Amino acid sequence: MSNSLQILADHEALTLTEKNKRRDQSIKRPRVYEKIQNYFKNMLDGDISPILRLKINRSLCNFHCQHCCEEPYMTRDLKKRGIVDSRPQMSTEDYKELSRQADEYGIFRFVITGGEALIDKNLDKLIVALDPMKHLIILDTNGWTFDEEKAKWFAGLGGYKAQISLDSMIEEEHDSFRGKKGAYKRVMRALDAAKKADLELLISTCVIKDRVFSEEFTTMCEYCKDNDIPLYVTLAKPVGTARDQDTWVCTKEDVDYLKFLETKYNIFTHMTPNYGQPGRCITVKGINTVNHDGEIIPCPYMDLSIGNVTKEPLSVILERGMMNSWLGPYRDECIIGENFDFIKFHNQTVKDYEKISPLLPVPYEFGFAKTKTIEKNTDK
Amino acid sequence: MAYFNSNGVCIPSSSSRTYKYNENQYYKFADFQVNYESIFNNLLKSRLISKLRNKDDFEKKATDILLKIGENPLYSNVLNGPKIPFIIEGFGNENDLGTELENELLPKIKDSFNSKYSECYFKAILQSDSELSSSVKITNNSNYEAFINKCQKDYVIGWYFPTAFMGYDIDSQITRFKELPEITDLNKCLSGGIEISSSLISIPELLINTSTYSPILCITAYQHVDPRLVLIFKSYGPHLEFWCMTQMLTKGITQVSEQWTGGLTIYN
Repeated sequence: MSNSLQILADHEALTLTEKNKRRDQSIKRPRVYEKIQNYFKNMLDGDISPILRLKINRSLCNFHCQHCCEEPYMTRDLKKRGIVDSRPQMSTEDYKELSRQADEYGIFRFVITGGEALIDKNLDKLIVALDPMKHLIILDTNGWTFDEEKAKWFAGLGGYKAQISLDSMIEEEHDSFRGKKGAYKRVMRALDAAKKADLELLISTCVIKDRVFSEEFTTMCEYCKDNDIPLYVTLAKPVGTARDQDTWVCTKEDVDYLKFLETKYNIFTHMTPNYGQPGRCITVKGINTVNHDGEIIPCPYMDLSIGNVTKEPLSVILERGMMNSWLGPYRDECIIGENFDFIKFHNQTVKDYEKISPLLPVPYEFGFAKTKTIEKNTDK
Repeated sequence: MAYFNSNGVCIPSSSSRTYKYNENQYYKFADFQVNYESIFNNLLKSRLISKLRNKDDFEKKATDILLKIGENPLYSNVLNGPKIPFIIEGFGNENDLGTELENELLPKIKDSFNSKYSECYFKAILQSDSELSSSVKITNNSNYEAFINKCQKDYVIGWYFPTAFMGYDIDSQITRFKELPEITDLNKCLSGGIEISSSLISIPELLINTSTYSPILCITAYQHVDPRLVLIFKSYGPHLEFWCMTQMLTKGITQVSEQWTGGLTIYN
């Protein structure tokens, strides 16, 4: 018979690696450490500490990836459609204020993304505005310009981690998917550069239906294991460029197999249990995207906002999101990747809003405001 | 007036706080057949019953209970939902349900689960610094004391209806249960750690669904000393997990999830 001690997992469900990293932060970034400790203490009260993912520089990008969900936000796409985005964009001061509010809320992670964030000539100013001593600054990159010099530059600014995208271990396949010859070689160079700069590192890869069962994917898992690089797997979503690519959508079989592989390899998805929380949909509670114009989107793959941080406090927006019946309550599945009722609502809402304005995301009042809100206990 | 809908879910009263009523039920168990022999053998192997019990007696008494429920118009619809028969004896340490879970029931679940799924895991995770030992008591108004008393004195045969309170918040599961009428010749309680564990031991594949997501089983008859915490079983892909975790959605507001479900237990 099993011993109960073998069954009861660590109280905080932390891996040894996570624990070591946290200990490191107590020295390097005491405020980050304090916020993580507070989060663990207060999570039983329902406190959340989501990642804030910042889409900067109007999502400008040097790649044309087949699965990109950002294309409709990019100036190049708007131009093609003859549209000018006249919405005010987040300024450095706005980001500074966001950082202050995030710190006050107990948030300790910012992901900077694009498009390709490294194209932004003001990236250094942004990182400083976000305050890398109070937050872990994580950079998404396709690796094209992330050489040794750039990696050292990012680390020198206080950057914490680089997340480098790699979509196939077959060079030609990655280059073709990314629409850029030489992209694979640059990724390999970027991985070395991040290690040399002593940055935390992961490979981010997007899976479409059935890829997880392929020999190529196993090779990628093995590569990451051999090189001690965590592999972050995102599921292709039927949004953005892929809105009509229903056949790309992963089934539960794909997702379950990924969960099975988590015990064999150092791979994880946004749904993997971490920070003492079970594997579940992480809308609002785990991650929120901040669009260039300040709209807060409760998931990286949605086009519907829950409020604009330049117009109202972050805490009010997050509270509203948590009280939304699709977004707050516990659910195991990724709603934008797997729940066809939600996908239908989402894509129809976007379609309807595009008759009013071509500029995404859909503001709160045109989208989530039309869905149900959770009753408070005091309502009964 | 029927108390259960066509899916076997208890119809909420005006005081119930529930997730939106959803006829289609996104969260479902995989189809499983009630195989008395297999259930009985698994329970015997896990020592939830002694060798004095026999499968035919179990099957007959369990079937009789179903007939009685079927004849009761207030309850008959509950049979439309999933249901798992159980036979249990000698369990229910009223003084320390948490230690019993930790030392007896969870290890048995792990053994049963791993005997069917050797490459997958069952693990128990306690959020924050919570503990089970000396920290779990019977929920008020759950009728679970009577169930435990019977388990201690005799063997008990009954049925666990896991989706009876699907989509209810924890408090509403309790208040709605209290509003249910008595069932002639049968006993009822909110489902607790013993028969839910028994169901996972006897049918280790219960929560493993390859085509859609399974409900999350709340052990509502057990109350943690920290009222913010709840005890649940859930699948994680091909794996099985037990969590002692917060039921707080946000400050001062409890979770009300389409996926969380409280069970009704009806026994002889």
